[in-house]
Amino acid sequence: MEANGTVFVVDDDASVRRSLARLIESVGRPFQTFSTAKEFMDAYDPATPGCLVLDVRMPGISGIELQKQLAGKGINIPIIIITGHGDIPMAADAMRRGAVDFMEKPVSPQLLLDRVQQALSQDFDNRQIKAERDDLATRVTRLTQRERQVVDLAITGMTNKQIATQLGVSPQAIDAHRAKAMSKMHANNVPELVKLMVKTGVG
Amino acid sequence: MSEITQRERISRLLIVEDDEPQLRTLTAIMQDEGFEVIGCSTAAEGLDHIKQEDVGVAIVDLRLPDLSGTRLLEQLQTLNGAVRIIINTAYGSFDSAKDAVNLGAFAYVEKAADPEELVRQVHRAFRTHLQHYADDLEVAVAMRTSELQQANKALRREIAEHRETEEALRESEKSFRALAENATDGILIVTDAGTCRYANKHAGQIAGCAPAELLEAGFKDLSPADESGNVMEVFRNPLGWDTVPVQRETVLLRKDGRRIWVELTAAKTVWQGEPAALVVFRDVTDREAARERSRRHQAELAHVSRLSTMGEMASGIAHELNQPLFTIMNFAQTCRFKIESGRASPNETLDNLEEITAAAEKAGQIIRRLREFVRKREPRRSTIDINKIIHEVVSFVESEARIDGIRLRLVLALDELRVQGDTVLIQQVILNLARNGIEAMTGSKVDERELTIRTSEAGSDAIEVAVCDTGHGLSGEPVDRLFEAFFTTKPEGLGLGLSISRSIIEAEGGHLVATPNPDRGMTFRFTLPVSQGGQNDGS
Repeated sequence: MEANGTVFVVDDDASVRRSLARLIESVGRPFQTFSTAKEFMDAYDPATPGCLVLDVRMPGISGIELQKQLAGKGINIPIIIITGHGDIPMAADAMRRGAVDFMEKPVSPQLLLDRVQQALSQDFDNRQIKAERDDLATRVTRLTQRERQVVDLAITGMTNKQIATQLGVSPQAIDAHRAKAMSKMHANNVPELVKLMVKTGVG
Repeated sequence: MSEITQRERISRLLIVEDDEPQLRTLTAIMQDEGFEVIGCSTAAEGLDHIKQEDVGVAIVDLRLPDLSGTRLLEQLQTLNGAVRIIINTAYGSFDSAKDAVNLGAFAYVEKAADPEELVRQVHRAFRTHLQHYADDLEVAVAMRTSELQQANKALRREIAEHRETEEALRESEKSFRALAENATDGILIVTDAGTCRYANKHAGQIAGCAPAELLEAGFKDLSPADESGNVMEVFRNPLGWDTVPVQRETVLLRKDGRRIWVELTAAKTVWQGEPAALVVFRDVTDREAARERSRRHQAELAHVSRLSTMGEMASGIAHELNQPLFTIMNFAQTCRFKIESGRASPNETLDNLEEITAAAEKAGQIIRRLREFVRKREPRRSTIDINKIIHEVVSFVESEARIDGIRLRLVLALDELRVQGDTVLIQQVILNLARNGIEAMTGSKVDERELTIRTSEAGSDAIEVAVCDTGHGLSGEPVDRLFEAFFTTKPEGLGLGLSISRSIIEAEGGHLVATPNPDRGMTFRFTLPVSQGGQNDGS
């Protein structure tokens, strides 16, 4: 799977900004540059796939502050934090908050591009997983109350008979509900159904 | 007769005789004797003559038709007390000679007598008349003499007084001269042309020669040109100075070739009627040396403080250097990718290389600036543009401010503000104030962090630089403690920054003060004197 997201660069130093843009462009990646965190926040559409290369210290909103704000809005864009001077507690904090990497200037451009690639893949994966999960969640919403009851019990490993006893209906009726639910969830067999339900976070 | 004097010829002889033939005879006789004769025949005529003319002697016949002889005598004497009257009358017409004399007559001669007798009496009368004048003269002379004596006395008194005054003046002059001679300052009288007219002992000692040599040499020979090439005007031509008294410090070349610092005061004066300058001066070489030592100490301390500042700023400086290095690496890598993948266009590569060069230059500048700033050096005064210095300081603190999320705001006067001073030292002061402000704001809310540097004119002869933060300000400490050496609120600070800054500013002739802002934070302000004529060299 090829990740082809946009690289967003936020750095208040114009020449650094230009050099990063040129570097990213040289490997054929789409990019956008911003001189302040606010500028980025105003322009950014979370639907756009990509990653963020962020200078940690800037006048106004700092890199760390931006990371917090994005997290607060539930935006899960992978972030590579670049700093002028190593600051271990800050690096640890940034990583805990889910930054892809915390790199010290002058960063090796190759290393930075590798991390960018990694971040874009991560974003791609994130988006895939999210899409799948959203899809599954949609499928789950299509189940009737009874079908949902049957599925919830089925994925605990109960047989149709046991489910029928528990719900007080005939095993044939359970069979029908289960078949309907599996069809709605696009599962071919019970193990598949179990996997899908785990993915939705229900299991 | 040879006896006749000037006076006799001038004073006339009046003959009053009613008998014509007798009058003629007498007149003739007396004229023969050389007298100037006025003859008349009535008493009235005689009195008229006495009134109008200088009559010395009168020969009077007492038997006159118009007035009695005694009345005539009285009136004659009333009119002219000096006239000598000889009564010439017929025997028996007058009682006695004694009576005649009682009446004031000089002599009494009978008509019957020998005319020679009359002539004799006339001569005698003239002599006594003359005697009378002589007496008058003597009185006058006596009076004059007395007056003269009085005048003499006054004159003598005056002379004595004058002598006393002179003596006093001499004494006074002597004591003043002694004062001047023994003064511990050098004292000189210098004329317009620069010739020395007076030099006291000490002047010679300071100049390293005998005072007399100063007079010969002329004071201008002892005044070398100063470092900047200007001849010390005050020595050359003290009267050319408009403002008096003039006071200044200058270098003096001693006779032995040693250069010494002198402090001198010159005032206009008049010396023996000639315009001149009174120059009082003293050797301040020791004081100047001490000052120089203290300047050097200050410079050393300032250097230590700069090194310490740079140490504290190390991470900021590293950050600042990393920016261009990172830029260079990115552009270089870009070129490499393009070339490796065969997509490199010459124009684009050149463009990237230009970026690399610019960034490398920027890094070089940072290092040069740092090196210049931390270098140990002698203070150097020159004309500097304060706004330019502020831009340089901003380049130092930019990264630090950036790291702490502080906005730097410059409110600079539009015109160049030229001051006299040492670039690095002034930079150090502004840097110090800016860093203090930055550090004071680490606890402030992010959107309130702002450091403002403002320049303005402060009156016609000074400029002001204000550095204003929005930090924590003073926590109950008195403002003046800030400027004490080793007073610090920072754990890693030396506590020298502000005390050195103040001493630097004061050495440049300005003032540095701190005031808490009304809302929050502090403002540090300093003034510096405007460079004289500096406005003109800007092109």
